[in-house]
Amino acid sequence: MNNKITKILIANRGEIAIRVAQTCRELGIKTVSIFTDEEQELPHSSIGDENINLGEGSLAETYLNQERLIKLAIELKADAIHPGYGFLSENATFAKACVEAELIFIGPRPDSIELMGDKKTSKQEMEKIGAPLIPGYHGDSQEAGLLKKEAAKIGYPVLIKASAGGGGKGMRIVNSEEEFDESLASAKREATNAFGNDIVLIEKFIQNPRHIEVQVFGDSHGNCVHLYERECSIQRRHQKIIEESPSMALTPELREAITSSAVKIAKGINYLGAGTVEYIFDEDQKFYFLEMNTRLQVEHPVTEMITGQDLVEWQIKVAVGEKLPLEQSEITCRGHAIELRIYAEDPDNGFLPSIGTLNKVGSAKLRGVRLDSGYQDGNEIGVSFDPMLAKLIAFSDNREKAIQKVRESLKDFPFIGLKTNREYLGRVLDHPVFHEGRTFTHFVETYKDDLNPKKPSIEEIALIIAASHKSHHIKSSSSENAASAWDELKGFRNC
Amino acid sequence: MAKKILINKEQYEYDLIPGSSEIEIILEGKSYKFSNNDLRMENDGAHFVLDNRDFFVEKLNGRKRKAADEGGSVSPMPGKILKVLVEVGSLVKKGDPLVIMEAMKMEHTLKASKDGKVISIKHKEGDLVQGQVELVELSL
Repeated sequence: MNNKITKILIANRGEIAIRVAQTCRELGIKTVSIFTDEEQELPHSSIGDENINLGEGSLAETYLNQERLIKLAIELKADAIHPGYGFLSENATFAKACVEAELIFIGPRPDSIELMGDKKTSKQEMEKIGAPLIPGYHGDSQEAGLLKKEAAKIGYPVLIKASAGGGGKGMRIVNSEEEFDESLASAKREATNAFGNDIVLIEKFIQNPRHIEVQVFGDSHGNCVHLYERECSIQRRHQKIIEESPSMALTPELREAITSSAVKIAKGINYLGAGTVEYIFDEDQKFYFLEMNTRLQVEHPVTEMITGQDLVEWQIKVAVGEKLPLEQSEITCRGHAIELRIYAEDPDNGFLPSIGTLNKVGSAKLRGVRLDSGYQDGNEIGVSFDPMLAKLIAFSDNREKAIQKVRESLKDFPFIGLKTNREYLGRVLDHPVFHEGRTFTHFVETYKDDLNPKKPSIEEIALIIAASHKSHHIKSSSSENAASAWDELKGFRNC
Repeated sequence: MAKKILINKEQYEYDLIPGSSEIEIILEGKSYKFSNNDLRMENDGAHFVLDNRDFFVEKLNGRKRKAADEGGSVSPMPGKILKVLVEVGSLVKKGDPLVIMEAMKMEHTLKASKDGKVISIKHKEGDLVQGQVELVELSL
């Protein structure tokens, strides 16, 4: 296969659609962007050479409408579809349908997506390949009594996970046998609602684990390389909020071991394109295979910064049948990169999503700082889509300097107008244990009390009061604004 | 007369003495003076950022707080009621789970904000609700 791509339909929205379009412009490839009625003011609705309004309707009628997107690509003479992350990026049926329509799906082969999309079958395959696995029950029988027995056999604490899961949905930690029944019922309910499938698996729950993942890439000539690791241990509600590379936990020997393991897995399944092998890394410096994500990751920019490579460009090249741009020995990393995910949410109130008008985003002012944002000044932030607003990424010579830079850069991006997690991210960055690099996936729960907002001094309160009187565009009350915004959610979708 | 203001949901009472080049705030019996330059910070009139910290300001004009704030359980955002765990007449303790909601494809358990008796349940399982609506009414 050696085709040429002249036009790509970007089957996604927000920052990742913008990110893909950017590389396409650099490569001289035309793009088609898509958007919905309510997104007309968002920047991704005008980044393409052609921009198509999908109208209103549910996700199933717009971003997830496979037939419609393929028809659109053919009509507009696009040769390829880039799915971004989320939405159709890990949908094997869609990848197959693209191939059948003679479109290039910029992603792995459908069978790889299918294999890795199911936690259970992927574990079985990984066992054959010889990947390190966590002790657990991955059997077919879902009888509650049996599951409880298996949990006892593995030993508490255990983790119940939806087989078809992702993003923390359908996942429960169970500390003791008494909690098991209720947690199982809840996990199954959430799994059914999110994935239409309530099959669960049970695993040993590892205390103080780090989340370390390896970026891999394969081409259609049988080559497979890694682009080092990312550590994504700082998470809330099982979702990453801070990612960095390199990981503080890895010695050169451990780095060699974990990256070799990832390449072995990718080679073992004859993987094509960008993929991420995720591992859990425990206190005894053992690592276990968690899952493989068969797409470009949200946090790919940290890898781009330490390797100096453009991963979207790599994706496009291997998709048309070219060899990987670099051999393993040519891929080097330098310095340290940190990414902060900026969410429209209230960390001091259970991380619940917030809404409002984004009056000011801000702009990058320091060297080596990048903001991948899906929104611009004046955009309304609602609840129809994922609450991630942007990613702030900073690069420097070493970790301490990268922390300092990303911390300082938060000031350049005030995200004025609604509650975001940016102040909270600053508190995490300031935590001494984070500075020491002792990160693990329950970090934010463990140090919950330290991460509470600092009580403002009375001088600061006086200053804010004075500033509120000086401000020319005083709003009568923020809660009224919020109330009216809720009222505007009539007929909103994807609830 | 003292003015009232909510800053990050904490209420403060203060007096304001405007001046030509500076503004004076009397707060908790002390005076604080600021020049125009001191007051420069990112803001849109309701959201102020000072030293990378967010301050959300709400001026109170003697309006009553919403009844929903008085207790019970209020939907934090639009979503679907998955389970109602109490019945009218149930006695609950602060922190007891009342309702399980699904919003943003995640489950959220809403807990009693105080001890009390369930007076009424406003929605049943399967209902779609808006944000900030009362789901369970508790006695005082």
